[in-house]
Amino acid sequence: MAAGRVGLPLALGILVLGLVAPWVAPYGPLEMHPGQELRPPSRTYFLGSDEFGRDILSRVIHGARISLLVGLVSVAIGMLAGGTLGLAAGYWGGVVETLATRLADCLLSFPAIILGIAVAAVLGPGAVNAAIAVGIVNVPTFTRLTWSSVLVEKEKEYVLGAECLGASDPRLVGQHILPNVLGPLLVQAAIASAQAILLEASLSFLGLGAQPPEPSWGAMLNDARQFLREAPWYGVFPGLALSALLLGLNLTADAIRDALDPRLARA
Amino acid sequence: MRAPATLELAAAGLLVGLLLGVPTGVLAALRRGRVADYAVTATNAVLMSVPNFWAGIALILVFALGLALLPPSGRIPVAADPARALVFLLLPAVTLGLHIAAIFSRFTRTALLEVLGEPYIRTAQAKGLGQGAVVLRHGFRNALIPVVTVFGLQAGYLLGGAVVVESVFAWPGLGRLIVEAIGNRDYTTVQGALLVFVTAFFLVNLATDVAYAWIDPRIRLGAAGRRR
Repeated sequence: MAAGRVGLPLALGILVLGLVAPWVAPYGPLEMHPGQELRPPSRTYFLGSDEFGRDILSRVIHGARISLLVGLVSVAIGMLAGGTLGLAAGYWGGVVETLATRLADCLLSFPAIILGIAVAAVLGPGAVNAAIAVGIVNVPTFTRLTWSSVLVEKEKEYVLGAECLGASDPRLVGQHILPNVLGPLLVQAAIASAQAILLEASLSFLGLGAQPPEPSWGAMLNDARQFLREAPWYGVFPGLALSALLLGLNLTADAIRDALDPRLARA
Repeated sequence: MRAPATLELAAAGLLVGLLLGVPTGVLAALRRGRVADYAVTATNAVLMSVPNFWAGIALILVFALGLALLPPSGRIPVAADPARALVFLLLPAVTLGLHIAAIFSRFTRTALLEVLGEPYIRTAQAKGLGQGAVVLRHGFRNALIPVVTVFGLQAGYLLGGAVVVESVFAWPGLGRLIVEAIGNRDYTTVQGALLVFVTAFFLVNLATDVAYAWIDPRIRLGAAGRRR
């Protein structure tokens, strides 16, 4: 429980900082200062400057926006597509079920980052494409989770009751089953967002996600690699921000899981 | 050509993960609720959140550029010069292994705590066995099952993580081949390398299932109830 008390403020703090970035960052994320390249941390450049004389602090703060965007978009894609497939598979069964679950199995047989790389390679580079790639990686987990929850829910009496009252298929699924399977989906969304942000950063680090000059943390670390000797601070701060955000999200997800499963909390 | 380099890195990363993760997990379980337990648990939470490429950059900054102890990148084949090969392998392997070490540590701790609460542990203690024998022979072996499961699940991470870590350390493996091939729009190479990765992932998962039966004789694959 203590973990959640640290994690949630940490994650929210970084994300809020990203939201208000244009007002709190000392400089613009793309603003270059000729003659000020690779300066060490100082009063003017709190976390130093990069190879184009851009303020690293401003870029790190703006980088949170990309992580936030990718996290939201990819989890939304995973939840919408995966949730719909899972609902349809669980409710109708038969061919729909076979197709949806086999598709999920197929996607799950790739390690996440490998699938991400493959999709990103097909879609081409860019932050939005990276978000879509990460979203596709998210689909099978949501499909399986929704599918298994629906299988349990649809056998319950309240569904039979609604059916007897003459409820149509869309009404049964939308009004009765969906609200009852939403809980586990939201927990999974919290877990998936941390993985999504990590995956985007990895893709950007490999040059397959956000492209320069966008201030993505992964892309910044990729650039920083060439200047580790001259400007070690360049390689430190974007990674620190990314690690802090992931730590916050992971601790929050752990706390949610513990709160929902008291059996685990004891161990 | 490239596969042995990736295999070498993944195996070394796994070894680092086991060597760091399992003992710390056992330690945390035995010292439950004390300082050592909290230290291990907190370190695990942090290690699980640090992205491997940044861990790699941080290790390069400290050990290669700061202390100048280890080379920052590159690889020497083991066959050419085993000692120097190990020096080059160390940083990438630790980078890849830290994350799995945290996961192994966490699961070993949970599994061992659960097992140590079982009645047969009390029986073993009542027999007058030393603490070491109880923990190792009776506790640890039974705690291994979930740890093996985790290994199967982490095989994907090992292979995928290798892709990223190879890029950090200019390690000439399959992962870097994929990234370079994407840059060159050489999609045939990308497809081939991906196929190798997914096949490897499959085989590891199969091996994991077989390992269950080896560790726990109660689990028999196929013919039910056959005795040893």
